[in-house]
Amino acid sequence: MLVNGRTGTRVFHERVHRMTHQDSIRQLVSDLEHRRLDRRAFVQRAGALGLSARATAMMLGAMGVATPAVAMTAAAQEPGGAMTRAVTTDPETLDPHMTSNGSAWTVFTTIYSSLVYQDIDLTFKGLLADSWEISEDNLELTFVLKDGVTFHDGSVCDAEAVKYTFERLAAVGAKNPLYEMAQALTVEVIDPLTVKFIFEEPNAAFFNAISGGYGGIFAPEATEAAGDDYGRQPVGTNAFKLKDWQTGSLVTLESFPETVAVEGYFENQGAPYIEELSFKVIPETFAQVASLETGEVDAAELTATDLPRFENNDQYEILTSTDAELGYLGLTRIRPLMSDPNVRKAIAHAINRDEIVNTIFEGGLAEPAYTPLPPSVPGYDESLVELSPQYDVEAAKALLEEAGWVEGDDGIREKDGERLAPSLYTTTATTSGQLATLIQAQLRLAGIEVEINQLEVAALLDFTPKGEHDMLLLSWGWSDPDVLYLFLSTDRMETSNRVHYSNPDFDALLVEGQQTMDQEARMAVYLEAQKILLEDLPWVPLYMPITKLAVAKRVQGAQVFPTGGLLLNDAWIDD
Amino acid sequence: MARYIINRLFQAVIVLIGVSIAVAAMTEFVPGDPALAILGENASPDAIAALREEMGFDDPFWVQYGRFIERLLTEGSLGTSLRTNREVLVEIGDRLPYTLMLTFGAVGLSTVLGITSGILAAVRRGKPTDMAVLVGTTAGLSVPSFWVALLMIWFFSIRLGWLPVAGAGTWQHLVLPTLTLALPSIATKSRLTRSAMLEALGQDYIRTGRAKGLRERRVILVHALRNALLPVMTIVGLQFGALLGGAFITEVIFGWPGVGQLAVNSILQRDFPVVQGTVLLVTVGFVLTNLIVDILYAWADPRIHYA
Repeated sequence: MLVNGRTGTRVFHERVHRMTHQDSIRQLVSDLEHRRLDRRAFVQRAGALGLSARATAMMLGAMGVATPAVAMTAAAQEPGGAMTRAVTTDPETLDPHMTSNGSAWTVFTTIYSSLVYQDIDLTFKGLLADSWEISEDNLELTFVLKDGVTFHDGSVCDAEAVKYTFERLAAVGAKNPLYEMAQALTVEVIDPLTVKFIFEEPNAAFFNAISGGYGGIFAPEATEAAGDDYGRQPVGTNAFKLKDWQTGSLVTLESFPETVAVEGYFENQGAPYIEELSFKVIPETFAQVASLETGEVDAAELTATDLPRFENNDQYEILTSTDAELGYLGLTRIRPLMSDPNVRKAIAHAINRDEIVNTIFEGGLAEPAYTPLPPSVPGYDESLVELSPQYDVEAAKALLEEAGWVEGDDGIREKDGERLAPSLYTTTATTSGQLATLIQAQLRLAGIEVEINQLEVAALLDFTPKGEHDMLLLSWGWSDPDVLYLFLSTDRMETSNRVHYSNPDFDALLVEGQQTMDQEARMAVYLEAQKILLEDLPWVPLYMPITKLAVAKRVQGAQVFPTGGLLLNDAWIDD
Repeated sequence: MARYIINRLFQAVIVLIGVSIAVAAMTEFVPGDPALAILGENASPDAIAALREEMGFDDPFWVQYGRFIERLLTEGSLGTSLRTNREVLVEIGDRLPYTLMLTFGAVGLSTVLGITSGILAAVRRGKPTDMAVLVGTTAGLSVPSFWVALLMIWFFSIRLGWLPVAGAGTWQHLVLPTLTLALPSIATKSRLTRSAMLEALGQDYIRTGRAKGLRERRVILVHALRNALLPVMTIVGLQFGALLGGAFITEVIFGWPGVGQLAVNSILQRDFPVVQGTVLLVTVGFVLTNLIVDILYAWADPRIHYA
């Protein structure tokens, strides 16, 4: 599942006490011991902290907690009512094959469902699929579909629909993150409820890729009938269907009572209680929060300035998710200034992540990240943290001395008459500017003079393939470890490999990771791959963002997925 | 007169061609690859290259411009949005009514308030009313509109709870963006009216009018105002044209689904066909309102003749 279509950094601020990752886990276990958490809340938080399903189950077993979550007061869950959520841009199109826009994703994930879904423990379960079988050679995957699932238009969701969806994706879906995968795929209909996927090579990221809205199954007839206008007349199988769309302003969905394929973590397996779900386009964060206060919207993401006001207000519930996202400082090895491993290591030592999190993110809207895959992405391994260069300015200075960079009159290091003054490129987003300035100040203490350049996102993404930047300050969001292939493989040198990193050993591990179906073995591969990265340092991991969504109390029972995404099937309106 | 109008329309076509060439050239020089902006981070190099080829982004701009003109003349189409896959004309058509509402609202409000306050200030020159208008117009001109917008949201929506913060659909939604947009125009028109009125009031024909015993009211509102309004009319026309292109900041802050918001999104995401469409719309708006103002000029001032 691609977490979101966004690029660049975002604004996050919060003023609460911040805990380290280990503290958080300790706190979590203690909460469970003292029964301050029910099972579901525990599993959710454990997932947010990046704990594996196995670890979570073990902890639950050890504490003797196996009872299902406490049932909510059933009397209050009257069907009916409407809620509105603020989004930043117009969804553009609700055809998941035709967009990678973040707002579009937020809307269409409530309209479409996929063959499988990701459970709160981050494992994959059947959604439209009832069961599946993987062949010995890992090249064939046969799904048996649930019987009786219908689309919003009343047509039946069968094997033909699955085949149609993936073939359409391969034909027109260049903007969809699964496009390439779909092109390397053959889909065969075995019988009305059985469909077989044949791969050219084993694809371990497949389940992650097809879960969520981007892998949503289309209704063939409705899609063909709508033609070019399909993006405005989407038809899916999920709990909500499109009712009205006022371009640039408001998208209104209504509940779909016949929905059957609902994710297992919902208590309410039937139609959602909420009858009308709207997404209101409000580009300015200030106006989003103001709309939340006036009651024009019921849910909006918070920024630093607003968080304290909402956290101490019992009119709102704050839902926290740890995004599968990493903010990093890229070091372009092909640039003369960045080619020396000691210089890269010195830069990593000079970065003070705690200061970044405490100032730019005001302590709460991010956590420090030390590993190329942050705790919110599978493949994270705590043992890697100590391999990551820790904050130590003296060590940074020593490494630079060793590399022959001597301090000049003004404190900036020089070597053969050249100053250690690397260029840093980032976006024009406010947070990017603040981060760049802070990093500039931190590196200055080690005798490095950073020259900051801010470009608009589209211009920056066009600029990086040229390889004229020494450093790059950017972030990505992706919930599978294969993200390392996307951003650091030699194959992606001309496009998304923005730091021009190339290492054949690492490339080989990436291919192995893509083809290893056994999850444990696969994670071991990414452990090795990350060790190489922490040695080569094409990225200095900086932070992992945290999203705080404020939801008005009139909406009860709303939840967020541990790595982001509002879950509404158990929610109801209490006016 | 007819010949004059035809002449002016002909000039307008030349302006439009010039502007469209400039916008087409811009796509060549503005940094940011539209194929990359459309496909996003996860696209493979092949997919990006394929899209660039399909859309013809690699062609020199005059080739792209040739295609644009051909499509315009043969299909009457401005192309398709790269983000939504819808016709540019449809995209603009969805937004234009909102922008027109805002434009007429702001131009109407600022014209009424601007001229009234300008007359008052001129008639009571040097008195407290004049000073108050001076302070008000200075503030209106110097305070940035995004700040005014935030202040109004805070006061009218959050504090008083009278008006909605963002969105469209009811007349209440129209109030704050219209006010925000009208404020600087009120100031401009007020200033202009005041100085034009003062000039007119110093003319001989005003003294004559007063000497022959006309009521002061008639002197001011008929004899002085009609002459003073000529320059104000020009400004009304120009502002109307400018606002048609969308009040970018105001529309974005208030989540108003007009052309301005569309233009901002399209520029940021390098949706060049839509950018081109909105720029052409602004140009047409400017040219047409200018023409209308010139025609009105002739009607208002019989001394002006066009040939």
